[in-house]
Amino acid sequence: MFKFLWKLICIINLNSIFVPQYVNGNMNIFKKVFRFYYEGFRDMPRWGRQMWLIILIKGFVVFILVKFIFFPNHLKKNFDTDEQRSEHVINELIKTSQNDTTTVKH
Amino acid sequence: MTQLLLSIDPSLVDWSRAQFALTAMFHWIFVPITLGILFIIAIMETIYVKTGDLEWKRTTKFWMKLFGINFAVGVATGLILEFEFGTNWSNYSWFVGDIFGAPLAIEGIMAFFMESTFIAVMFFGWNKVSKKFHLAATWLTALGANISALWILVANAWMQYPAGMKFNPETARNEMVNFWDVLFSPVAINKFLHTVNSGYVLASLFVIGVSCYFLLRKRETLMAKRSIIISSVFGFIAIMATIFTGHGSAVEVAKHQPMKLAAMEGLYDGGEGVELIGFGILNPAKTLENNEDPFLFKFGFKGMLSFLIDFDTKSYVPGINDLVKGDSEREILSIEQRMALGDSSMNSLIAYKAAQKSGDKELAAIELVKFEKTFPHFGYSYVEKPADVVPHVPLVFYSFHIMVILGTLFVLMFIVFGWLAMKNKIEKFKFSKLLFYLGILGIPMAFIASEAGWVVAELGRQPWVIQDLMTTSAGVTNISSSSVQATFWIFAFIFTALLITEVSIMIRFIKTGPAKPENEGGTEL
Repeated sequence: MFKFLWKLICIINLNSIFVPQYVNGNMNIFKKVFRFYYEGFRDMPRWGRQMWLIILIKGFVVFILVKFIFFPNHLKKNFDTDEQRSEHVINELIKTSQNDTTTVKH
Repeated sequence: MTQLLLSIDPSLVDWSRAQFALTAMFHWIFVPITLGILFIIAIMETIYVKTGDLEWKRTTKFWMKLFGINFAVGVATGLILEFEFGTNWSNYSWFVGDIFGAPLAIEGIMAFFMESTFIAVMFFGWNKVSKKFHLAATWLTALGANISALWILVANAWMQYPAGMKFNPETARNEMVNFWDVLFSPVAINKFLHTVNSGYVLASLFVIGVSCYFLLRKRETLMAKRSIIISSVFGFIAIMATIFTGHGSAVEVAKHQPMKLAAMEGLYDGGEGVELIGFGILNPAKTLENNEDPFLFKFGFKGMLSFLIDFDTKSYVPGINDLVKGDSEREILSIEQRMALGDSSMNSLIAYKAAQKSGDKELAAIELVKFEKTFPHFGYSYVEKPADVVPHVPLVFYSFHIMVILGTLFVLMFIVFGWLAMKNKIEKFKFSKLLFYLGILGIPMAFIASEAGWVVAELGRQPWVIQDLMTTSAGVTNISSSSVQATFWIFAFIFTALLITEVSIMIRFIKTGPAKPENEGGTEL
């Protein structure tokens, strides 16, 4: 039980995790982590590779196409400082309240 | 569906809302499976570690594979919501300030570090780390996913009941004054528990449905029966918790969003000893202005709504008309009174900013006090007419009742499936084939119930994006409506493609079934 809890506590110290069954205890921690992931990816079955392909394609679409082309951050793009952004939002809030160009919809 | 989408008013607010709803509802297809199936997998793996039975390991790995597909297709769909905040909802994003920033930052860190670390151990770690450590990684992945959900649901709960904050007119942002009030607001607690438990219910029904497929095909019967037992017990506990926290949520809705509760029940005229509608058909001719009966048909339980809200069958529950017109005896302000207070709040804000600009500190201080006093009604300055604060009653009413009716059916399903599987009678049962088809049908029904819950929560809140403080129209960015329309259709295409991918891969893997016993071990994903 203690050993099990200790492994949980040592979660950051991966050295204590892989020693019993995995690799040589003297190996550098970064090498162990690297090898763990390297072997994991290397021995991955075909379906796992397909999943990673989906993740990569989706990541490209979400982060490159969607984020940068279609979804720039409006306030960050158009204003340089937080003061300007605050001023803009306050003016927008007041304007929206005073003219009824945008009505309340359900 | 296309007709419905095309009939949406092509204004900026509506398209921005349609786009956000599309993204959120699509994201919510993947999340509940992840939240729930991880615990089911962890329970199965615990049994494997305890018993050493390799069939349990095989079962665990099969469900882990389906989880992996769901995770791979669903991951990062939630990020699009964050992009939409910055582009389409910039006024809202700025206004909510660090109320959203802090929980979402914690969510990002939790999701990234906890899930990504332990998921790697889950999939790569078979035979590389000890059994117990692998088990710990599975449990920690499940916990990490659920803790991630906590933060986003806390942020959502704040929109329903803004607590623990103070609006700063200097920065135009709400600033957190008490983190614990935000985190432990009764709305947040009930929302989190209700939502994650509904996810567990959905995942349990998913496991039951897939297991029923195997039983229908007379394949992998041991795995299927064991999976049904685990998911029925887990699902039954979860649906009980969902009902309990759903009741807690309704009590909070009655306190902080009475208009939403009235819409959920189609209650136009409140009173004492109000009935709970079991089911009903709303009268389409009913409007706020006429005296038509709100229902064409209804089946209800007398005094039960009062009882559920107040534990008193004779207590008062306001209806839509009571909330719109107000009731001085019961200290309910009319919407017109609240609109006047909202205008006063807005005027004080304008006067405060003007006084500041002119350097009149004394006047600025006076206007600031006035503003802070009326700030709880600030959002009513955006309301044009009282009827605007009534949400779309039919959508909220039917969504709520579909969710409740399906939830009740799920209770029965968990009892029947669990009992028959535990007694090992599920295949010998007279109507077993019918039962297996019902189990498979349980998967789409669970998704319908889950999405309907979100419709109740989010459409019932309308016209508010933040209850009483900001209307949806005030939160939107003033950008071109056509660009929002374009991205709506792009997302509709991407999401449809992803959904088809997920469903087809899932079906392929379910048809293939779990790996043969001799193929066990080695690296997975």
